[in-house]
Amino acid sequence: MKALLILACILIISSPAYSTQLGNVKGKKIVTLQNSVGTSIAKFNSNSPLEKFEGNSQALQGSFTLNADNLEQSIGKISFPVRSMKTGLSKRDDHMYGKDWLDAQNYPNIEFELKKLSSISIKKSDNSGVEFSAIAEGMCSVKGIAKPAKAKLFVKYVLESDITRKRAQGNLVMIDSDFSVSLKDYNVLGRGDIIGSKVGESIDLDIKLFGSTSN
Amino acid sequence: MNLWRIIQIFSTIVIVTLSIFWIMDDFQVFTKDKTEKITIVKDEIFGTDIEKREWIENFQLGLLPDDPVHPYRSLAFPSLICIALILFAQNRIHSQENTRP
Repeated sequence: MKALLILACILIISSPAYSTQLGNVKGKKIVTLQNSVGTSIAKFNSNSPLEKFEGNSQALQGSFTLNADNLEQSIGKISFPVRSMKTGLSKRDDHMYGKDWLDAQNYPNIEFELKKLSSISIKKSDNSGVEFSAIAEGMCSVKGIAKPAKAKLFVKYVLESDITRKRAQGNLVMIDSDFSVSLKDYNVLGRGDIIGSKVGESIDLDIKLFGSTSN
Repeated sequence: MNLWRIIQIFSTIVIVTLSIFWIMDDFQVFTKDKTEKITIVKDEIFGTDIEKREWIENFQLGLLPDDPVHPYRSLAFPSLICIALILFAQNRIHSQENTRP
C-alpha cells in the first residue's frame, strides 16, 4: 500500500500536469535581451537642488536564467556601456564619462549580476503566461566597484503563441525594475561640490528589459 | 535719436527676446543641445504602455550655459552684458544732459 502511494506521488510529480511556481513553465529558461521583443532601457534620475535631470541608456545587453522549478535560484547578468548613457546635454555626458565620474575608459560597463530572487509573489498565472513580483539580489558594479544591491522587479512572462512569434521566437519576457545607487558607494565623487548641488547624491534607476527564451 | 538711447533700446530688446526663448524652452537651468522625444505605444502582447524614447538635436536656451567656455549660450550672460550696457548708456546720457549749456 505504502509503495503504491509513493509510486502515485512520483507519477503525479513527473506527469506533464504538474505545475511549478511559473504555472506551466518548467525547468530553466534562459532569457536573452532582444530588441525585436522591445527596446530595453535604463532610465536614471538625478535630483539636486539646482537641477533635476533624466537620462537613459538603450544599449542594454545580457541574459538571465529563470528557474521555474525554484524561482529563488534564478541568476543572470545585465550590463550597459557607460558611453551609451545620454542626458540631453553633450558637455554633461562628456563629464559623466570622464575619470572623475564614471571613468568610461577604464570601466566601460555598468553591470548587475543577479544572484537570486527573494520575496516572490505570483500575481497572475494562466494559459497565456505568468506575472510575478520579486526582489532581485545581486552585485551592482559601477566604476570597477562591486557592491551588493537589491532591486524591485515585476516580471511578465508570456508563453509562445502565434501572436508572440510575430515578434520573436520563444516565450517573451518583460521586466520592470527600479533601485537607487549612492554615487559615493562607488567612488563617484565628481569635481568640487557638484554632487549634492548639480548632481544628486544618489541616482534612481528605472529599468525595463525585454527578452525571449530563444537564442 | 541719441546713440546711447538706441543702445538702451537694442539691449532691452535683446533681454526680452532671450527671456521669451527661455520661457518657451521651459525655464531650463542649463542650456541643452538635445531633446528627448517620447512616444507612448500600446504593447498588445504585454498589455501595457511602452515608452519609445529618442534623442533629437534641439537647442534649448538655459539660464546658465551648457559649457563654461561658451557663456554666451545662456540667458544670464548676454542679459548681464545688456544690463551693463543699459546702465552705462544711462550714465552717458545723464553726463551729456549735464554738460549741455
